[in-house]
Amino acid sequence: MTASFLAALLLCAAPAAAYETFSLPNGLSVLLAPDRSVPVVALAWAVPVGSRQEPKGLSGFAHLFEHLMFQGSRHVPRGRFDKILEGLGAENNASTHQDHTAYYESLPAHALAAAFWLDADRLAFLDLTERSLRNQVDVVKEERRQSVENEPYAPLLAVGIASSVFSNWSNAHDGYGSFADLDAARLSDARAFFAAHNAPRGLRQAVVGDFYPAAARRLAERYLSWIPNAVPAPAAQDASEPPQTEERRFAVSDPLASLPAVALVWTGLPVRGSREAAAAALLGRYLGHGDASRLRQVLVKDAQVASAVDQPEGGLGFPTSDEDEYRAPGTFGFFVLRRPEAAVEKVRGLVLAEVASLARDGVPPAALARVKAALAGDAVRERQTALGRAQTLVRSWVLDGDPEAAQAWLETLMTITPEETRSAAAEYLTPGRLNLFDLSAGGAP
Amino acid sequence: MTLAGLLLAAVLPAAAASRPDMGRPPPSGAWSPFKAPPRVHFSLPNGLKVVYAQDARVPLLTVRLAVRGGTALGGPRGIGLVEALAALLTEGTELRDARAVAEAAEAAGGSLRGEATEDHIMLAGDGLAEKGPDLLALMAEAATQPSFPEAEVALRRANMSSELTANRAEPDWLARRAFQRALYGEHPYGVFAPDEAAIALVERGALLRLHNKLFTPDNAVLAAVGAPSAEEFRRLAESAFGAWSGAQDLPPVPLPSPEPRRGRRLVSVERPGSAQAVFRLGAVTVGETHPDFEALRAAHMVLGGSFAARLSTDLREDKGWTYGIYSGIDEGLAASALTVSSKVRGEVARRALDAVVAHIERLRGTLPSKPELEQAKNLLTASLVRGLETQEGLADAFLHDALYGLPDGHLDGFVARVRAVTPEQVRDAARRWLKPADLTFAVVGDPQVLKALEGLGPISPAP
Repeated sequence: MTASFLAALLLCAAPAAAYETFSLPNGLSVLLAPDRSVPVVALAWAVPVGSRQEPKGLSGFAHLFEHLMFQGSRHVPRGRFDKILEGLGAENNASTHQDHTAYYESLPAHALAAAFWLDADRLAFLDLTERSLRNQVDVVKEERRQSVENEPYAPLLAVGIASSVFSNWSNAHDGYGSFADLDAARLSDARAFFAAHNAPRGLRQAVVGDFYPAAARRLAERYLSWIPNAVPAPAAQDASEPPQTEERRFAVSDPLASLPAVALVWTGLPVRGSREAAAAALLGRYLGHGDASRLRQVLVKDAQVASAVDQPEGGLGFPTSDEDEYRAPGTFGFFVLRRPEAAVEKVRGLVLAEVASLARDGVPPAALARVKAALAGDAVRERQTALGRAQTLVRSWVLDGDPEAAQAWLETLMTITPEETRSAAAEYLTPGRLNLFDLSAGGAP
Repeated sequence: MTLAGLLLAAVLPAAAASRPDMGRPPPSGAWSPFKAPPRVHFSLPNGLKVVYAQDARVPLLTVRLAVRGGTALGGPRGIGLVEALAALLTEGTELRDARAVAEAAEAAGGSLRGEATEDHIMLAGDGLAEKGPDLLALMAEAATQPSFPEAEVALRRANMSSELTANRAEPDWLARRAFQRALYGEHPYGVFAPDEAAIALVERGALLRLHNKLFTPDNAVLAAVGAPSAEEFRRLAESAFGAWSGAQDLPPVPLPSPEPRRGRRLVSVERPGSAQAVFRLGAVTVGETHPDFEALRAAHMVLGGSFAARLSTDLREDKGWTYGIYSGIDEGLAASALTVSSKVRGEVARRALDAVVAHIERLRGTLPSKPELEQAKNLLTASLVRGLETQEGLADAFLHDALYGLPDGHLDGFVARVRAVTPEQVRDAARRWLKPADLTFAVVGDPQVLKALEGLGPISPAP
């Protein structure tokens, strides 16, 4: 990449060419990045709780709380939250991840105040009753039935792989929650979990778009500064994993799948934000991302042993997290829809031959430049909207402690050399760290 | 933080004096006007029309190239050929094979893909501004020198066949296909998807002939948004597309609008054992160039344009008959249609259809309330403005306006036009364009469920 290109990227990707941050007395921190080019404003915020922060016995609570946050609060009865925002022309949603839960509202510029009010009410006065708890436990169970149990490959991708490759419960358990845990959930548990994990002290918020910083700061102070931290911060969970030393095989069957599949998953990947992790991210993209990817060429086009290698997309973090939220101990892998007539060993052999050639020679320089350009293009496109920038800033702030970490990560990615991809492949993508899942379609293996 | 510090933090900010009035929502202000970046229009000497806007906020270049002539041009026999042509533009050129095209698009920091609508075939390219020359050269190559390699054509045909097989198992797809046919009859818009016979016609010779016919510079529009200045972009466009030659033998004739049809039509598709009934209903209405359009679009928003609209509030929230029910406007150059679609439990299908018709009657009989209309307008305005935050959204809008012959002011005037719609105009637009007596229905469901539809209108099985 040329210097001019990197400079241009910096300008747009530090979306916040000019931004300010401040903390309220309760520890809640806010970033303001005005940009008046389009009359919309996005408010994104996140709290540092995901499935990995759940204590034993409370599996699924992070996700359950994401649901409960939409079920009514003292001044905004159940059902009103979405209606109020829709009436203003706003969009909103939330998502639960391994290490954080993210919320957003994207509004017409003139309606920003409403989002502060709505968020303050649900943070301070959430309706947490036996009835709302039971109701959402049922909804979450139904969601799990629909999106995991009723979808081909989802039992393996959403639950099976993590529970097989990890041995520490924090990493291995099901983020939707076990039905036993959900059914046994007591209101007191729920209240304690909420107080510990959704406290203002850990909340990071970014406001990006068409607004005046002084006005937004007044809104943040008025609506958010008085919300108390009710209990001390919870102790961090120990998520460490023992190193894997030998290849492991798992046979699974999926009655809903129409095609067999192979998932290849390596464990023991490097820490978030490091050069080694950046090299691994580029290896993942080179091997399994998009029409030009190496595994697609080898498995789908040349050897014709697979019909797809990128549904879902693999790479760093697969299948438990996206690349941008990846945090160790994490995984690296791919999902291959195998042609029924092709042997699993054939697929495994072809993938490992590619990996071995990377461990010997690294990603070829021209291909590495191509992968970097595609990655830079994706990153810039993602940051075009106020919402995309706000979410990127908040994710980095909560996961890395620095809203600009996403920008630093992008710069790291752009400077990775072919030699660094070689050494990352040689060190991390070894047979001893591999887990192979042999999925047979439509019944017992 | 120490325990004492924690207690302090818990006590101090919670003092009653500092808690704001949470009892009611804070007031919100008024809509700001929206202005798209200024566009420049020019033509290359070969007749290619170009519209471009500089957007220096991000180092990207976003390009759309469209030719007139889409799936409607092909009719029932040619629709497969048109769809395949669009998909195959990026699967090999005189200079590069499919893999090299994919690699070049990635190296430009983006992607290049073809798609067909009823009226146009389009190439969409996204990339980094500094790779602009490569992206434009690649797009020009795909548009002017596609090679339609035999192997890729055969693969496309096989994929289209398996898509058709998979789609036939999808009740949504079956309802769409039956509805489209019933609504438009023999008009070319009545063909929704290629059948086996149309797929079999996809072969290299036919693709090359169709490509030769449609892809001439005087039949094309290039719309782009990017970081380069307008002057730089003009040079890029000239160097990529300047050598493109050829011209239409006859100027393309716009497709005629469908004949207005009177009376109810109801088509049914049997799907034994289907737990749900899937339906679509609607009427041919008017498109964006018609003076009634903004009022009609507001009527659609009030009726079923959102989660908070009447249909969802009644059939989902109050009655619990469905997970979702929405209306939509499908816009085409020759005609547009307003449709309502949903999936309901089989046993309530008849009551659900009656309820939708009653909501249409109400829209025609009484004025929408002020807050209801205000909300509909807010949603419309916001979704348009949000769509124009990105270069992709801007380029698509510029291309649309160019293909529909709409002036630059049309986009910038959007907020004002939406805000100006009155309750009376909404009611009157519904009266003119949504006549319950002339509605078309398509329902997919178990034969028992379909029996309950008797009396709704003359029923015929879908062809």
